[in-house]
Amino acid sequence: MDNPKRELFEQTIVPHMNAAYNLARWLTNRDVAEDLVQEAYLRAFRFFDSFDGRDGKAWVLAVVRNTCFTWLGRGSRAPVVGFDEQIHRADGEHVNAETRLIADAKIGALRDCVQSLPAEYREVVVMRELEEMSYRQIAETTGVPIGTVMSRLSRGRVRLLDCMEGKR
Amino acid sequence: MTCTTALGLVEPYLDGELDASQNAEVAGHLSECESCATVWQRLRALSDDLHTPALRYEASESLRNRVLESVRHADGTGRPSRMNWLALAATMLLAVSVGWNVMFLERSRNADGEVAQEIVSSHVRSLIGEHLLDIPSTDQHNVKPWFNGKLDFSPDVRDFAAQGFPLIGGRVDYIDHRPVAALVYKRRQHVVNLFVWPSASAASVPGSVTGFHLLSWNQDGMDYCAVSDLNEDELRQFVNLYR
Repeated sequence: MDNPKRELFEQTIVPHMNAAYNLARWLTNRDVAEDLVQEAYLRAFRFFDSFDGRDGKAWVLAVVRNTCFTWLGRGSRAPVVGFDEQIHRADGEHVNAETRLIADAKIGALRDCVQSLPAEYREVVVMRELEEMSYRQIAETTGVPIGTVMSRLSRGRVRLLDCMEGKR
Repeated sequence: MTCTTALGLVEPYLDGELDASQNAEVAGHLSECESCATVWQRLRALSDDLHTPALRYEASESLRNRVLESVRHADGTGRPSRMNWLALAATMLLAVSVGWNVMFLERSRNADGEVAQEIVSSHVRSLIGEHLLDIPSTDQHNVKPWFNGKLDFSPDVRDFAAQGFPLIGGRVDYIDHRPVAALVYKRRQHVVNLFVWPSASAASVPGSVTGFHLLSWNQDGMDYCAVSDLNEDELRQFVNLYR
């Protein structure tokens, strides 16, 4: 007989695993993203009682994000200044490998530009543009006010446009 | 609508965050103002480009299965029985009566304790297989001497296998700019890291991180901090045993 708690978890939280992996992958690197998602899901399950039942995606992404930043050794806050050597070294290698498979050079350029964003901008860009989350959802996930979400998103976009301009 | 207002609203407009009347106003301005329309077009083109599925990483089938598997496993073994609750109540009464100064912080208020953050980071790294054990041993008589020469203090190493918290080993870790002993215990599939170091001050470790429980105390000139994703009550049981 299945436990109703687990059934509910599988219905409300498990379906967001693509979003969870996407966020973890953009925040960390290929080598650890799967382990971090698994760890985050276990934590989410143990703390499932604290889920208010409203927005499973925002809730589980908050756990994923926290797990990622904890792994990165920075607590729950995104770093203010950007370029993380470790992330870039790890990712630079296989972004090249991955982009080789992609015919469209523009996608490779976009990927590089998003990856080069400071984490606090990168995460909101990923949540808004790739995950199509609302400002409210992003605010809930990141634990910052909506105004901060908007300004980070806006700055992230300016940097992306500049970065893409530079690659033209 | 002025250009300043329009440019302030162009991103919420792009992101579908405006109400109908604001939408109409921004659209009206963009149809009349060439310079704002240029900004809008660049942003929209960027947004369109980013929407390509090629930029979105997808979870593999094997990850999905791993997660389902581990959640089922956690579910099967993770729930305390009625007896445990009684034991727990007794433990908590004891805790109150002895008047321990145990700090429990369940969910993130403010992660203002850098030490707590370091401890949790160290714990998480140990979980994902980076560095769990330097000395894998279930024998306290192996683990204790192993620390000699590696640390300038000698942690009290005890095994609680009989009580359901078997010692699985130890390692030297680095917290708050100094080497510390990490004693590693298991509770079912959960790992408990117990960090031990000589007291630098009377203060115990403050702070917390969502998803983890930290219990810290000070005893005989040493600071202790137990961290785990175990539920609070079981972690408290562990601390009770150790103290």
